[in-house]
Amino acid sequence: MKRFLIIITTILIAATAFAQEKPKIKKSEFLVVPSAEAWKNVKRGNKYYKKGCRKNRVGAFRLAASYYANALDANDSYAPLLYRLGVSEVMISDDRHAMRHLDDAASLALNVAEDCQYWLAVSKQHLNMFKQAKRDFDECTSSMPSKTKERFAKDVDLRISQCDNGIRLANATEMAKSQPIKGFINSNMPEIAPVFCNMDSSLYFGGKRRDGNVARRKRGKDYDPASDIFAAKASNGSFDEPKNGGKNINKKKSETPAFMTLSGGKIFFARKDKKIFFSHKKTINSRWLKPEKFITKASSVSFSEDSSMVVFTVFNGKDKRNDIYFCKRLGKKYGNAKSLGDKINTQYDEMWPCFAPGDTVIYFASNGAGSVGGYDIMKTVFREDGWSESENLGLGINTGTDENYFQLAPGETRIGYCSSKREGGKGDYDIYKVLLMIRPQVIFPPLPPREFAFEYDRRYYASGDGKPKEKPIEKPRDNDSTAMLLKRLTEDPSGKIVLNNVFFDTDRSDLRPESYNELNHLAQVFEQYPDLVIEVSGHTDNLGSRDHNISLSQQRANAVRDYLISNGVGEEQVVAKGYGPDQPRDTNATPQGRQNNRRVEAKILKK
Amino acid sequence: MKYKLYILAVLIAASVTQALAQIDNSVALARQGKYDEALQCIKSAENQGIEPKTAKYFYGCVYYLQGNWQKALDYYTEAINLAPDDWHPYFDRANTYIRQNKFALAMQDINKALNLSGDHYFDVLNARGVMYGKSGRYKKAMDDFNACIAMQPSNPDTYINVGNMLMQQKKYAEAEEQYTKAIEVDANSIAAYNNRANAREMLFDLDGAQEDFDKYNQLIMR
Repeated sequence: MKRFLIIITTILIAATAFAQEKPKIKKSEFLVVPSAEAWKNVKRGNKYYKKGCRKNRVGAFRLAASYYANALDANDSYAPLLYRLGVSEVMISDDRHAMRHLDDAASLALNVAEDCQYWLAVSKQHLNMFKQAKRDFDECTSSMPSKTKERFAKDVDLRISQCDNGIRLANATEMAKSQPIKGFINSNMPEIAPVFCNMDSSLYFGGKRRDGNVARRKRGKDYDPASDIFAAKASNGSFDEPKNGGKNINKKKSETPAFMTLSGGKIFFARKDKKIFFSHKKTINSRWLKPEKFITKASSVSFSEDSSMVVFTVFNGKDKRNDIYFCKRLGKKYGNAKSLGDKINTQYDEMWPCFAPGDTVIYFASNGAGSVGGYDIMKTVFREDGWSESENLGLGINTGTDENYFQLAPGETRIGYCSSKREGGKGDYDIYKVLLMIRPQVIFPPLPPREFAFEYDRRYYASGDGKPKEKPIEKPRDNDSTAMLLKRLTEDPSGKIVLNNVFFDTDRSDLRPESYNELNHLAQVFEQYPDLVIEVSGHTDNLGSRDHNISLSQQRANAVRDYLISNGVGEEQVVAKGYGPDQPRDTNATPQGRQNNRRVEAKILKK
Repeated sequence: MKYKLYILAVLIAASVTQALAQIDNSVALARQGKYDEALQCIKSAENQGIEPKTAKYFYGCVYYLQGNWQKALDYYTEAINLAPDDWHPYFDRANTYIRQNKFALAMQDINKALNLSGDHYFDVLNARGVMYGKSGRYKKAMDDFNACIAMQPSNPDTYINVGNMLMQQKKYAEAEEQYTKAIEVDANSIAAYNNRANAREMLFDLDGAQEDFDKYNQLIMR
């Protein structure tokens, strides 16, 4: 439980170390009108606020915020109360309220607390207000006494660089997108560590909800129940009411899922964030069997596709941080653990690694200088010289507060789930569905990637005066009879011929009537050779965009095919293909060469 | 004498034909990144009798491809000064101003090109719509696109332009509708399928996006 709290609230540990018990709430100043109830709320709030400050307990801050909010009814203009309420709300990621209360506190009493502006800046960072947060962080230490300034310096520097990341990533292409999952999973209590099970089509997660917890009576040291593993069945894009994973896997300690195999018959989970266990399930409706220990001193695990490698999180006691390690399989066992390297493991925490299919990409969470605030989902790619520098997946998934426990759904390359404390959730950590954007981004249409005016108007400079000129009528070349057409088709060493008298209007795919004669002869060839199969291909010059040319040449080939079919040729006897500018016969540097490249060809595929 | 004049005319015509071939060469070379050679071709074309305003225009095009916006602007301006009723240099100067984020000047030029465009009114109007969209003037952009649709309702490119502008504004559902219209008029539009796949992804319609992406791949590979 202790380890679990340290891991979940690491970034808050850094922050809560700064949360101070001053200013005190004085009864004589607070109670303008006597109210025993209000003072009781203040005293209870103070009790939990103190525990939160001293022992880094998120649950304590949750309770403190609740009591202080009730006390506001008696006096909502008392700066110390507003400050303590605001700080408590930052701790539980209720940042919108936190910002308002801290702002009010600072307005009512300029020096209500030496770190009030710091907490205001943190709440803005959580809400992705990076420019404003950076400004506040820059200013917040200037009014602090020197010892306080020293204490805050490292954290403030880190947060300023995180805000810079946020400002930079706001203009970057989205690498991922996320939205809250639908259904009954997310609640006002934390939901974390989602993994999807293919066998029973359920999402497994760690939950602290009071109803259904095996240890629901026991209140953990953070004043929340211990985490249990729950499962909620997927139905029609939503999730049903979660059910407890069962007493075999859930004990009175804290359990969170870590990894699910592709078949869904084996689950790995962390207990007390110190040990990894695994359990089997034989059928959809059977229970999880008694778990066995897999690895100690680790809090998460992920396997490569062929299980030849495993990555996991280890708490480095000496440096007091979490790092990612890996082991390679040697026969039936795994070899010695090695660090994933200095490019990944920084002086901050790197945790919850997850292999992507193909095993050359690992996703993980980090709260270091690469994040925009709290834990962010990052990515590293295996290259010749090892694992690359971590890359932030961007603001489509990451926010100024925590995103962690990202796992791809088994067998998926693009769809996964993560936990996040962002604004707009139901409270504390909620589970989000993630889509990784690894497809090409929006391409631009054929119009106007023709960059220049003369490309819309090819007659432009031919006339020499900028005025449109009558298009010259192309003189039909030697009119092929059926016999000559067949002779050319069969005797040409390249196996394909140009259909000399097939014409289209500029940039159109409608056949001109002067094309019909040639195509009628071609259709007659099929009467003589009923088993003939040909490919009709469209080709263009290289002016204009390739995509447009490919599309146009395909449309033209289709037009020829449609004409042949309408004249009795079987659908299976003609294949239409557009090659665009990819197969030039001549140079594209001259008008004549380009004209030669604009053509329709026929090639025998089967006689 | 008449015979001599005739020979002279033939020689001049031959020279101009060669000059036009040099112009073609110059654009092709510039697209390959060979800017110095491209400029040389235009110089040869000038020596061979190409009209000065045509040469200036294509100097502008080569510098545009090189990314040298100021020089491109200078040459387009010279071409305009030599032929003030020609829409082409106005159009390309407008595109150059867009590259420099000078939208007001771009609008001035594209409007001038529109007035002079004649048969190419549809193309220039579509381009103006795209420019309005890029400068955030969405209502004006839509006015232009609606006019284009009225002129050529079966041209898919206008719908794709509108869709792209909506994607820029993160209006993914409306963008999807526009790409669907493009596909209805052109069932083989590669751009429409790809862009609709992206819009559907942004809407978390993953099955729909996959269908479109498969179709895009099919069309690309054909």
